[in-house]
Amino acid sequence: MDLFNTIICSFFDLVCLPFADLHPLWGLTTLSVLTGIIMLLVFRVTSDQAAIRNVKKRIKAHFLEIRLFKDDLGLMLEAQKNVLKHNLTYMRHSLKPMLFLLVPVVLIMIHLSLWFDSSPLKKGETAIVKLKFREEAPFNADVSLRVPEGVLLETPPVRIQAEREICWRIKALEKGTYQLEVMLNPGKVTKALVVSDQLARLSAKRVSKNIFQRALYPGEKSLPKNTGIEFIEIKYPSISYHVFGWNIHWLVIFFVVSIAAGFLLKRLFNVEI
Amino acid sequence: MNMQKRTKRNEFTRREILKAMGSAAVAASLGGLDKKVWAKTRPPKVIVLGIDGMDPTLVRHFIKQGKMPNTKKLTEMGGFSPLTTSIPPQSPVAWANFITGMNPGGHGIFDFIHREPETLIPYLSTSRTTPPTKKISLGDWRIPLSSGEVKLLRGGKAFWSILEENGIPATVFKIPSNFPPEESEARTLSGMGTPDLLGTYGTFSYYTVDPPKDFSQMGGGKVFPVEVRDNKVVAHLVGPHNTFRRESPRATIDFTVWIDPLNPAAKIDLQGREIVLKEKEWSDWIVVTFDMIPCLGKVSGILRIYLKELRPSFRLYVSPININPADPALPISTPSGYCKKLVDDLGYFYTQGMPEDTKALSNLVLTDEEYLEQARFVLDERRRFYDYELTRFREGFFFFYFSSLDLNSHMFWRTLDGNHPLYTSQLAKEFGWFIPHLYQQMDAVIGQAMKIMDENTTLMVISDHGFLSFRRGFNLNTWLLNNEYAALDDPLSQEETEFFNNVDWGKTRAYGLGINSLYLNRAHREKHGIISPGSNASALANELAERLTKVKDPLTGEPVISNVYKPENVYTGEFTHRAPDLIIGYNRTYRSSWETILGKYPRDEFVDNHDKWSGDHCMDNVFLPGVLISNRKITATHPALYDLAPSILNLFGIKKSRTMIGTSVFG
Repeated sequence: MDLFNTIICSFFDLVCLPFADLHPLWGLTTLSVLTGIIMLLVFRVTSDQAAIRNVKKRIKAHFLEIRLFKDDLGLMLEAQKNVLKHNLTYMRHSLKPMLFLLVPVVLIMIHLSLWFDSSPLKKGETAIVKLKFREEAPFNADVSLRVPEGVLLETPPVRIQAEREICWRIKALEKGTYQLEVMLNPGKVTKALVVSDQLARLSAKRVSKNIFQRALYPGEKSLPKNTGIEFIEIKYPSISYHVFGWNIHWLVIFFVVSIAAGFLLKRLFNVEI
Repeated sequence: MNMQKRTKRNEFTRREILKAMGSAAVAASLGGLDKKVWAKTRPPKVIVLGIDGMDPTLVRHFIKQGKMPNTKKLTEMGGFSPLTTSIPPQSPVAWANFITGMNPGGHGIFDFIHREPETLIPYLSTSRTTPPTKKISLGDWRIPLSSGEVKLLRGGKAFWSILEENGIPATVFKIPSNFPPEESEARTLSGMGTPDLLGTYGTFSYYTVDPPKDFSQMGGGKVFPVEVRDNKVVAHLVGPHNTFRRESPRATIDFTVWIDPLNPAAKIDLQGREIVLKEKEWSDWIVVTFDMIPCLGKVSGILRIYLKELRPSFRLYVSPININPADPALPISTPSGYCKKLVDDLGYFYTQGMPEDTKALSNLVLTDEEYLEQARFVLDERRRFYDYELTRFREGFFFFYFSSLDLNSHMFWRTLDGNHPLYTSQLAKEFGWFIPHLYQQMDAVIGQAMKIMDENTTLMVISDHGFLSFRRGFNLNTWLLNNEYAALDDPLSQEETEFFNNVDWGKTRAYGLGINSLYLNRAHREKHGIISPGSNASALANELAERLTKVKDPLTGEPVISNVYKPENVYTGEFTHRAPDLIIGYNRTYRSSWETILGKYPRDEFVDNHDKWSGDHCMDNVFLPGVLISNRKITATHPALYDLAPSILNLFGIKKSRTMIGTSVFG
């Protein structure tokens, strides 16, 4: 899983890096359009295009029937029944490509979130570092955080046994990519931290070897299981996307732009959806 | 308005100014104009720095000591003059004089506090919020059928609106007496008078395991007793009234404080946000959202938390919840997006009119050191915004307001006045540097403005009033009671009287409300008025004025009141009839006590001022002129605050409006 994550992360690094100096909205919009195109192509390959075309024609025909024979109640009801029936057929034809689309789209979303959900810490900004122990593991209060030069540890640990967590506050002093060291006594684990003015891939959470968690947080190698740690998290600031005066979550932009791109480009790619 | 008329009035529009500037630039680039002609052709620029509470005596003193070199230089370039302040010299009144070029009779702000004569309910004089009048009930919910209203009560037109009408762009930052901001094309941000989210001038919250005695009576803040269990404190933040619910309960937000078992640090969980603080540390701004109608109606605010102490006692201070400038619940700027733009460019900021939490210091919730830190945040923040706006200023008019000198002089005058009841040499040693330091800070901001001045720039540094020590409080209502101008229903409950609730109005002829206001209990005006208008009222007013000026402090033998003003002698304008019947001008070092302001009747007529609010300016205006310093020669012999609006209009070649009573100070 770690190897798979590393490969996919490297691929997205290649795709996203050209946008590092721009406002994140540019990169997000471009990659959403690309995703829309990928969705179109996957849809074309995995769907029965002829059957979809056919069923859509039938739906249109029955709509026409409704308009033409609106004075004949029996015919109208029959046409409406047929519209409903063909709609169900259309949905059946769409189901297979949708299932095929699910995996790549979720994968794209997870990896775009590493880039477009939060921004790196800027010089002078602070963040909370949070360590959480797994339910079954003992709560180890003897944990400390070591920060490299360029990062300041501002508070002692706040140990909350009831929540099985330990928190610190750090401050970014200099730009760079750092490894914070969590001293477990015995042993240690690290957590990546990025301080930058640019767009960058961020691993907000380093998680344990739970496959679901590792799929959701692929930015760093998983934590060794014997540490008892469920995750180590850095609370990076969220990116605000202001579009026409509205503050919109990046996922909304992603879905709207990718779906709009799919509809706009379907004729170009000769895809019936 | 045609061209001929405009020329006659020596007025020109922004477009004409820009056109002239453009032509001049072309001509200059062709070598057709020399420097002097070019300077003359360029449009004028005016910068006004409003430094609340800057005292002319202290300015002269610090200039002499070499602590204010920029101010000295500015004085030498143009002039320095005491600036006659308003009657009474209270900030909302004084700044309204400046804004409108009128006196209180013209703009209708007579005191911090006014009252409804029909009900005698006091209200803040500069604005009023009215909830929606029509609502329908759905179970526990009240659905409004109309919107509520927040209204600026200041009458008269702001001079920057006149500038904008004439095409002169203006930026007016944090000016008092302008909440909600007067509709205008100018960029304005409201200042003093802007409430917090609870609708008050600032209400802090204090969570502690050992609440002070009589904590429920604490003014300016709310104390919440809490318990620490298993290193955890669960509490709630109290927000605004939820008028969508029956009986309008307060909206609240729960929060949890997790304390480390050994370390002096804690984590605060508040609406999904986690804040880690060390003991004696302030948080950054935190955005909170109060749900009014689930998923539909929310009110957003910003606050800062101070983790005062974790052990042995738990003490947590939460600042007043300021209106969130990124999502303002009430209008605080024109255009409405201006405050959001400031957040985008500079981050969150204090929107509350009086950001320094003087009440927390007065109530000993914050120590001198802690208050000082908070006051420094305010000044640092203000200076950041000043740098930003000053850098952007290119043309037209720019006003920027500083509150620090005023509010901190109120709180730290006891470090300068050796005769103040709270003065100690130790205190002077520890904190005596603070007020001089603030004057030096103000000198630095003056220096910044001087750096961007050119030949066409007029820089004016103004203050609304000076400062004096507040050593003794005078219980005006008690004096009225003792001298049979007032009577109580139950004399045995005299000290429990609040908001005049024990007053026998049938036998009461006069009452004090507000800091400098005295009202007669007039028939047909007051709810239970007994003094008939005309000669009776006039005779009573004369009698009171005469007797009050003879009142002497038994401790010092000094007169307590130096002047009593009658509105018809000092006010002009459409609101004069709403003025108090008498305006009390207290002698140096005296002021109305805090108790008498809101209708209390304490036992003693005099009280030593043991409040850290130790400096004041709500005395006789003759003792408290403000300052006017400019790079232009000041020709007026006795410039007054209401002269400044006509002066500014005149600098742009615009005639003052008919309602303005002043004249240009520059001749």
